[in-house]
Amino acid sequence: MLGAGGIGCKGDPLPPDLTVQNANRLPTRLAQGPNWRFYVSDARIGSVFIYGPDLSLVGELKQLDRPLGVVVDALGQIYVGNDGRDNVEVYSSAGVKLREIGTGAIRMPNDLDLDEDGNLYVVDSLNDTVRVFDASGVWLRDIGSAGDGTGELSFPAAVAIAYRSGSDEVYVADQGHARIQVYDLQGAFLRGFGSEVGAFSGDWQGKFVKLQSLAIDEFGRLHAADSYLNRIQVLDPDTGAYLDSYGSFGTSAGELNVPLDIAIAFWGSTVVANSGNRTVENLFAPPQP
Amino acid sequence: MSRTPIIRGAVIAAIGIAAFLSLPPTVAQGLSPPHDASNGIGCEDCHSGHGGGMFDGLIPRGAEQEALCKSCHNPTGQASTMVDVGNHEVDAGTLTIDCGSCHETHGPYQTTDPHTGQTADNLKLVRGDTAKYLPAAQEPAIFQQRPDHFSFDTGPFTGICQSCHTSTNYHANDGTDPHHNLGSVCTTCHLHENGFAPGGCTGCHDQAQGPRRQVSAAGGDFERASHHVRGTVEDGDCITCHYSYGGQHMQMSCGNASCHEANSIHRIIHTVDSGAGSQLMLTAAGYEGSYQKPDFTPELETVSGHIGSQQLAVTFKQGQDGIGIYTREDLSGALAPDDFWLFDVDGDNPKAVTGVVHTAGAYAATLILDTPLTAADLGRDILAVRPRTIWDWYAGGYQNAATGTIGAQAVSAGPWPAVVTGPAPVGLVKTAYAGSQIRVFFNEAVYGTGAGGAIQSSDLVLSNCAGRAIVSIDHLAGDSTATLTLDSPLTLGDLGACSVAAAAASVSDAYGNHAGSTSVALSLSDECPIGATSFQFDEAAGSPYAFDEQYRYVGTVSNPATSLPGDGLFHGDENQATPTVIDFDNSLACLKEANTITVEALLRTDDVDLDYDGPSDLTPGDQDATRNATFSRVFERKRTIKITIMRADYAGDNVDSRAGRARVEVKYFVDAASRHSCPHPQWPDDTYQGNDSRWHQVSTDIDAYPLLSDHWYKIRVVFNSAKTRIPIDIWVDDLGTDDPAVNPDVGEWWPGFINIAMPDPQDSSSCRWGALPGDVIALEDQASHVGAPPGHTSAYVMKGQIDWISWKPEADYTGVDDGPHY
Repeated sequence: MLGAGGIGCKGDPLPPDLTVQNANRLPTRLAQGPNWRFYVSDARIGSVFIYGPDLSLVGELKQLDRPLGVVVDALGQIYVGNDGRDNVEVYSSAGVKLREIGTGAIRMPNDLDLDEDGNLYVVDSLNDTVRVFDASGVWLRDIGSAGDGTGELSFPAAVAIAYRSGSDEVYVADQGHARIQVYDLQGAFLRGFGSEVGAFSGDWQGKFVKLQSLAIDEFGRLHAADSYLNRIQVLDPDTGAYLDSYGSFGTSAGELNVPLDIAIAFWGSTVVANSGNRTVENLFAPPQP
Repeated sequence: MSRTPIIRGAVIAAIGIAAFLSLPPTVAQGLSPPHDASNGIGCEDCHSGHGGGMFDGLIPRGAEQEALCKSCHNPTGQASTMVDVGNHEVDAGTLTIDCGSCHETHGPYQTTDPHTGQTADNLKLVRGDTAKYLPAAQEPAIFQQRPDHFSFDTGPFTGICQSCHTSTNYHANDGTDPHHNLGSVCTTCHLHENGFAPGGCTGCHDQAQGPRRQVSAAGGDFERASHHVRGTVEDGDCITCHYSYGGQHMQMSCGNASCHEANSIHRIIHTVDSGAGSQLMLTAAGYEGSYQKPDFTPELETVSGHIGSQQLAVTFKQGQDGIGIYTREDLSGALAPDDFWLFDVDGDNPKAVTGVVHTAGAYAATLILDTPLTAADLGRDILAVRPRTIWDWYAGGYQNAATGTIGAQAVSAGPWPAVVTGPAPVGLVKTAYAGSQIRVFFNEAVYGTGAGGAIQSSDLVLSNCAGRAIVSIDHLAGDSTATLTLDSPLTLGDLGACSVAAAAASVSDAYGNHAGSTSVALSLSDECPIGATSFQFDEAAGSPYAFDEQYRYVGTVSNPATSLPGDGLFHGDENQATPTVIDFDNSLACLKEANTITVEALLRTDDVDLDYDGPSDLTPGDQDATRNATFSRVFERKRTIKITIMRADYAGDNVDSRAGRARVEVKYFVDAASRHSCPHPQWPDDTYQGNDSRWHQVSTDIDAYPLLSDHWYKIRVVFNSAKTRIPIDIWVDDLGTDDPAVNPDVGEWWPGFINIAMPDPQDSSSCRWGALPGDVIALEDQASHVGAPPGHTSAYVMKGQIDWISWKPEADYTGVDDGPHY
């Protein structure tokens, strides 16, 4: 009901450092930031592309090496897992490089998330762990380690932090074991669920082949995207029970083709880095409970 | 990687997969590196229920197979160092050569090079039996070493590229011209990730290719002082000078043909003759003439625009054997904005092509621009077709088009383009209905015949409007909107009937073009109010709509009253089975993305001091702990902001309800960027709130400042994200009626400001539910309501009357006695 005057962050101009010079050729990982923008890494171009809430391209953070995971804090600072430099680089909202985190200690910063205290969670797929740093870059702990046992990881691909019962929980996509491992913020294993779809089997509900990314929706439900099944499953965060699914393979708009990351938009729909179709798309909101 | 292969081994043995897939004898049976347990790969990694039932475990073909491979061969996957993969689209997209056509993933394929007799494994798991999926291929395909085995210059022509090629210009398996860049790595220019298509100008010229120079990228020719292209060179830059046609581009020699006249790129005389009849003439007056090319090449023939218009009319030359212009090489598809490149030569008015009106095959199209053309653009701007983007047919081959110029012909002040997709020509666009006023919109600045260029009554014509006449018109010369006042109020029957048109030769734009005479009928406005506005609910009795004072925000009255009573009040009453609601869903764009809001209402809530559970509850004070009727929704912008009068007498609130207290509660929706995830002190088990966007709430202090009696209160809510602490302030003015000196039976009184009964925002144990600095109300495209929202009419009924509601897009602290509260 308010008039247009004096309202809006959407149209705020980006500083020149973020002018768009390339097209997003390989949407890789994405995150939502303040002002309703989406930040999508492109490991091929070497940039993080910035989209407005209508998914129009508004900016480009350039000259990254091979950016994978990306997350944006409330100040608009952009954390980029730079696979080519084996670290996480932090840029101001204006695109000015502020600091590096984890240089030398990270081999493949595949996905990032932040907890309420500003601690950074780095999925290091090749080190089979999630490294946790404080905001200044001091290493705090690892969550999970290489192995096939309970709470151990094999090529973890994604992390999502959810508010649960007064304390946050860390969900890790354990791609190598086709399962989801849940820890508390200190790294204590809480529970796990999921298994691999059997060879020549069509029984996929609650199971995975290439568990690629995780997101928590407004209702606390877990959304798990599988880049092989080209499908997003909605799971009970306590039990992993299959609740629903959406998306199917295809090369047309609204269809999934090697989805590399998902995020639940503020308005409830799912934004997907649909790498095979080279698009960043807004999918229909999943059914509500 | 440490994936266990134990189960996988059992699966292999049980299924007997080698026989199942009929592998060729030269390939290892079962799994072998790299697609085996050494990388944690088992059968199920490729042979699972792909897509959930659409695939039975066998490898799919085509795009699905590409997706399957890319589930690992992507930057985030286990094969992240080998991501340059992709299907090979050939024969104008009619044939897809998928990964398995050239690669055998179960193991290396051993071949013998017929040229040397050497026996070795093919590299990159390239299969030798390429005829398995491509019968015309020559086997065995040889790829034992790079770059020599991409293509042989003597037969048999079985290099990996040659093996299958039967219709390419170069390197076909019949020996057709094997010398094109022989010895080069084919995939340098023909990128595998592009399906081996050449990657445009910069895809090849960003490095030296044999005798070809490096033009772009660091160290390229354009870093030299004599070249005027700087920074990142894109394909569009190249065709400024190197026009592209027929899959080739024009060579250019600056040494032979002077590019520059008098030190300015804007004054170029640049004559190029490629030897194939191509010629471009650029003169001091701009780009003139046309680009003469062979008859068979599709090209822009004319490009014309109109000053002030956001359209370009283009025609294409119909070449020899032409069958039409298409966007795809297989001669299908209408043209799209990406097919064009628009260069603003002097940089005074940059613009982009945002839309194209084109029927596949047509030789004419209309381009929609994001910015109107100016006089300086004509004769200067260049419209080009991007290389290899549009296609026609000629004598056996597809050709892509080249360039034309804006202003090749003198453009006079003629009619506007006929196509009105996108920005409309001068003309009526929209009207809004309310009261006696009509708002008329034009798509650009307009002038009338009145004093100083303003529109006057005679410039507009009313039709089918029950004999009403225009009394006055509020318009300033150069404004794109005008407000008409009629001699009598409009009625519902006027919607869709009464219409407005421009009178002949009356309304015009800055260039003297007259508006069209199309009539546009009245419709409800979908505009948002500008600045401060208010609802007075003073529409005439029987009106089914409620308007803001600007007649822009229009709400529909419903349930059960379908019209307003005419007494200037909104009556909410849960005694009705379906209480009255005003639904503002026709103005979805309003009240979004708000950093600052002030909402104020004058209202009276009934029965605050009664423990009222609904129409059947006739026993005050019985302490029924029923949540119904404890909420009175004043206003709600769905998922944006809610203002509620809430009785605190239901279980769990720990407030003595016998006195019948209420508080003002404000909820506002905050995006995840400023989420607060601390537990609520009273609902610690509230676990399913997620960590994303959520409602936050603040309320007045029900103990210190309860709302007690049934009389008028003025409530003001100010949301201001720029505050350094709490972004919400609430004031409740009891208008003096609660002063004990005035009303001793009530006993409540306060000076005006009411504290926000929220937790200390610095207290991390309870911050989640409160308001924090920097909060910005999130946007949401949903309706607004006064009264109970549809779907919750039983629980959120507004019980009482609202005299008015006002709002403004700013934080208004004027008139409050002790705020803002930092």
